[in-house]
Amino acid sequence: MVQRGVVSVAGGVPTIAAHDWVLAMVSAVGTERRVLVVGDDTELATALRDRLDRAYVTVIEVPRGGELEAIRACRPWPWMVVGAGANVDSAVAAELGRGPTLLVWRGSPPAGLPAHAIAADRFTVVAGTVATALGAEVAGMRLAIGSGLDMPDGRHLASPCLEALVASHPRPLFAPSRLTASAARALAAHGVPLRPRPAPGGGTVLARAEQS
Amino acid sequence: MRANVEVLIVEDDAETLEELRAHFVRKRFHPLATRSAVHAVRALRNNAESTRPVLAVVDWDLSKAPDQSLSSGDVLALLARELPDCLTIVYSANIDSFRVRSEIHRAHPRAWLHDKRDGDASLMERVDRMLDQTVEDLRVSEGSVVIHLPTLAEHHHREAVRLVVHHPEIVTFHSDTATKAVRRFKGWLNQQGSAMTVVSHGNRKYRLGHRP
Repeated sequence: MVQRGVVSVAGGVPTIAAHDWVLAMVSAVGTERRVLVVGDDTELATALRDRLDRAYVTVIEVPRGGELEAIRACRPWPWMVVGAGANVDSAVAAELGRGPTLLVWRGSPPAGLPAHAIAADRFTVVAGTVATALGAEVAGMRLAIGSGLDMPDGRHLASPCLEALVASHPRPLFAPSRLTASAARALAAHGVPLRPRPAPGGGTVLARAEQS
Repeated sequence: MRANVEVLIVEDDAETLEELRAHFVRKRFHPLATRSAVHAVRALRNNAESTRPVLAVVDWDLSKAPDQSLSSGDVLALLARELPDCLTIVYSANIDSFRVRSEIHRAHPRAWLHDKRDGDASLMERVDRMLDQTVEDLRVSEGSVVIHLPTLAEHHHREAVRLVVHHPEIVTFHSDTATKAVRRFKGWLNQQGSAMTVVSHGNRKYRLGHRP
């Protein structure tokens, strides 16, 4: 996005008047798999980035106050949000309930976050949880490089909801039913004998398809 | 359209800049060499239609730049936002500092980091390793040619080079001309019987992958 008159840098830093271009304030919109790091730990994103395979995921450090913008820049929603701190803005929590975003929180997750948020008491647990999600394999489905899934029939599938369910498996994940219905159709189309099912304690999990 | 691949160099020290420029010229790249962030942004903006560097080498500390009104962070933000498929190396004498790494990655979440204290030769070696990629039976040579090693057949197009140097990551191509070039490259790989092929991820996203 280019306008005349103001220059700004990424990450919500205030604009600098001077030149005849704008490096726009809005976060770059992306469809690749992203981990957004939010909260009060300034070293978390940098440390996490060092631990993860960049071919599979991009770690984005979100400055305080830039959470909503960063979440909305992920299309259709962030694959994962990693956070730290005792509070999260209610608008941010509501935005995170829009799609099945995986959530990992260092310490106790603040009130208002979707119930599938995972509490991790140490950085090594945070990093391990993210790495486990990235390396998940369920019935031959694996997270593909960049985004989507490598399916057992050798094809690539772009289904962000199913991608989240695979990465979360076997933990349940809260996902709107219209999205799980689409994931169910994709599973059937690829001949995978699993379907999204309501979990006993709430949320959705992948479970064996009932025989017809 | 120039076939040689462009490389953006932002370095405030005139002597180092000339060394880097000469290095890329020897390797048959087309260097866009600038001593300030302002000039770098202007070079990218003024040639936005034709200039899509495959690599950017950016000095984080531009304190000797003739124009200080923009910073290296501004260049990185522009690259991240508008040229996300440009491999970006940032070098600094303080690269070990969490603060510096955090600032760099806030501006460009996928930048590669290099320690300036290792010297210019180390930086050039690093760059060469990234650009002279060998992927299975393919090799990039002189910045503009992909060679199929068993047959020594050559494919001259910068979009093909881009796919090989980014392997295994996904590359988004931004014009019909570029996607046509990618499809021609796929045809060429088939013709050579290469172990690699071009995998489409839809929406002009492609990556180099193993032939099934």
